Amino acid sequence: MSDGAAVLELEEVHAAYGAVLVLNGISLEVRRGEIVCLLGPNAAGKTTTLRAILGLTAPTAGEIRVEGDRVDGLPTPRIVAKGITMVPENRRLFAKMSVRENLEIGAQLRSDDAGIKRDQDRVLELFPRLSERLSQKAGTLSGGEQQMLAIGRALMASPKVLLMDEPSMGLAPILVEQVFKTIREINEQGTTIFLVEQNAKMALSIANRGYILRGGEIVLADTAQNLRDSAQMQEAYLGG
Amino acid sequence: MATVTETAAAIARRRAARAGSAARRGLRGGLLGGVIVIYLAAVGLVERFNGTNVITGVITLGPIFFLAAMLLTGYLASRDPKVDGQVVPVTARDRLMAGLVAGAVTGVVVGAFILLFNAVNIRDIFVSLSPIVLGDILTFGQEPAVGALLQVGVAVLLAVAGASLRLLNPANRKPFVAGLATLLIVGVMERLLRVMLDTLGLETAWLYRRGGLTTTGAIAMFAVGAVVSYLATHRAAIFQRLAGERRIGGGDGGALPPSTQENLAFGLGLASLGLSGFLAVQGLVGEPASGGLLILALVIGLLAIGVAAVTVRKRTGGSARGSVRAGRAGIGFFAAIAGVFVIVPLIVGVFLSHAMVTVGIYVLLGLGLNIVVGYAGLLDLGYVAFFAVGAYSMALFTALQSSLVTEGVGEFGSGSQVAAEQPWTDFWVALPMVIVIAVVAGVVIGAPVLRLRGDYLAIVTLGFGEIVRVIVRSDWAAPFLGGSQGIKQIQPPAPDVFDFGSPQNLYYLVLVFILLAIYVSWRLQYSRVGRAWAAMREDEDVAEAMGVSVIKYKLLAFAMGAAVGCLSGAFFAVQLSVITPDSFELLVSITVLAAIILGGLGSIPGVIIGAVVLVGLPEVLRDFAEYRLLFYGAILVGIMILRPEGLIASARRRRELHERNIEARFAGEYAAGEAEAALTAAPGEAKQET
Repeated sequence: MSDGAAVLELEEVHAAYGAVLVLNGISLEVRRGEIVCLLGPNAAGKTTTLRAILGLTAPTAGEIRVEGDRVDGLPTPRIVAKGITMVPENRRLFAKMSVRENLEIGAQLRSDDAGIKRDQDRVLELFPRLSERLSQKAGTLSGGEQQMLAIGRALMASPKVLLMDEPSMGLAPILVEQVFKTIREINEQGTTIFLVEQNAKMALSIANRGYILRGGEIVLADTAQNLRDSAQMQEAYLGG
Repeated sequence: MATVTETAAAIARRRAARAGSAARRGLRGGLLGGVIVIYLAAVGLVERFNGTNVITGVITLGPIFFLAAMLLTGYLASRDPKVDGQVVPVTARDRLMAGLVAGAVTGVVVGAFILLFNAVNIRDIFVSLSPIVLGDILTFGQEPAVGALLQVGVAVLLAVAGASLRLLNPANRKPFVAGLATLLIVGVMERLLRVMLDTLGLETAWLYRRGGLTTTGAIAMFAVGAVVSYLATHRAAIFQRLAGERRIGGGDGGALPPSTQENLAFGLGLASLGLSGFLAVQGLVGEPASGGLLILALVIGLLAIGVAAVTVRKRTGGSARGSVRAGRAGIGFFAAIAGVFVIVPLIVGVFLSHAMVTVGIYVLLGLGLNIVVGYAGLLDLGYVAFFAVGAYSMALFTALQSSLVTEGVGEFGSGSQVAAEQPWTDFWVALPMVIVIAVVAGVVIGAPVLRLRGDYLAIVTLGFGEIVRVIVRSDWAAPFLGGSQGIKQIQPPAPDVFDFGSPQNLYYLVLVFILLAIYVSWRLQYSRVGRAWAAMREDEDVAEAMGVSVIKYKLLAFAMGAAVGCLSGAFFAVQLSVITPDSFELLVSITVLAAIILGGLGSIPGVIIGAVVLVGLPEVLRDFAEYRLLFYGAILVGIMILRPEGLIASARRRRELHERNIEARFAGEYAAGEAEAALTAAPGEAKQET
């Protein structure tokens, strides 16, 4: 599935909120076409890693590269323009705007109307439920529909790498399965995915590779298959 | 199922019990009414307007205040109480009972106050409470004891009348109330209306006498108001009748809700009919009526109503064209409004034109602030800063006494100022420069506050507003900006060609720029920029993660808001031809903000209505100048209670506020459904649990 070229690389990235060090030099890479997951307990720094990649939390040291170009220190919109978008934790839709407007905001940085149209059709094909609700306010959607919209909104940017922060959070088990199925589908259509999850079992079932983050450091990196079997992972993830 | 009905009945009973008896509601309303009457007297309203004729020889405005309060007390006390947001219906007897009690209590409270006042001196506290108001007006010229009794009688009478208004069918109540309101408004606005009628060449002697309506005039105005209101409330039925019942009778039957265009045509028709009614009455009472005008108004009125009816018929016939027509109706609507705005200053005279320019200046300010607050969600409390920047830069460029042209003079305290022969430049040259300065000012003020949100942003912008005011007033800037003396002799644009020095002409200039600002705002709202602002307003972080450059769009909002605000300031300078720092108080920021919130945040028509209500009304009601803030406050409180989303809410905001109700209702229905299901499905289980 992956052709080996790293599309997103983190090297010794440090990040802090004030004096509190959250990321203590993490390095990882995501290759084109992969699904990579970042697992770890609460407060391990998973969300901060995503924020650092997007420039929402400026890294204090280290390098972040997208297709070889350094992006750390750039303002967020320019990083988005490089092809990185995020499905934020808890969806965080623009609840008072319509479903259509939410999708349009996703394509905010693009000006190729034909391409935008194509992507919107693609999103609506992926989530037919949304096409029935285009002019409905996003806040009135059900939890599952909201997650679909959040993913759809991110896809409208036509990203090279899609960052996903806890897409399973707050969803019923049956919806979680559906979301993960969708993630795989999106990946098969050519979008690289970097997934942050607490639901390790689900995440590893679709991922190619995984990293385990604990206390702001990567403690383990391996293929998803090995991680699933590894006792060490169980320990890293559950212990401490 | 039986269980459910019983439960529903029980709920209704419980609600009725919690709503209290009619007497209790009457007592509560009456106490409030009494306090309000005393308040109106204590602030001096009753006495101050005791000399203002409404219907000359019959009643003056002073007593109307407390009589109206009593009527309203009865009306409000007899309304259906609400428990848990649910209306508990009340019987007709209970309504009258509540009204009766409310009136009696009001009367007793006021009567007691009269007696108290005559026994104890409380004038030291209520300085506006003169012996005249208590010894003469409230007592109807009788002895205190008799007067107090009379008060009770009058209050009961009026409150019961108010309560019995509720017994009327709303379709009949509305015309009655509208008639009264027309009478009152036409009476109170005598000074302004007379000017308008005179300009139109209409005779007014039959209508007005000694500052108030004549009795004939009063009856005529009541009739005109009632008839127009009756036609307006029944317009759907009238449309249907005119459109031909035969065809509709064969179809779905129900009357279609009239479209904007049809309502507009109907409104025009009613206005014309109103005018012809006015002329007809004038003819009847023996004053020379202009027959041609009467016929013209009548024809226009009937024609307009006919057009409305025809469009209704066409719409019902071929509904496919309906949507196209709806789109055109919007354009037609704005064209008609614009047309009215073009003609109005020619009719209303200099004073009202001046007031309209002032309103226009605030509409511009509102449109600018609406971009910042309504679209981008940046709460700016120092918007007056841009108003000041615009006014001062325009003044510097175009005043004869600007420091740009009078070198060395105008230093603070030097007193005498020499005027130059020529201003530094002309209005039209200055205008683009003012806008450039405005944009720079917007960015300069915007840049330091980019990282601030919500309350912090509000406080810092508040500070900026004050800084600008302090600077223009300061001795330090006095050699340049004139200190507290301000800048005088600002030249209107191109006096040789079209003299914008007169309010009527300046009005057109302001109107053009308002239309421009409306167009820009309207386009912005649905553009990529407007969408980015909306997203930013909702969730700044996520908007940024979606690629919205928050810094760029915030600065853009500040710059655009500043440009429009400065434009407004420039017109303000031209309108007054003198500006001083006193004109740039915090109150300006607050008024503008209040206007756009009142009108409906983010809504363009709302900005206009808000400015008209908050700036136009006080200008028109100059007679009430002392009580301006009282009415202002009352209007604001009233609107915020009745229409929290603003008078004309933007579609988006209406959605926000009303969907909450819908959600709540759905939630309620869902819960009810669940309960029902539980009751009907498993009564045995329910029993076991208990």
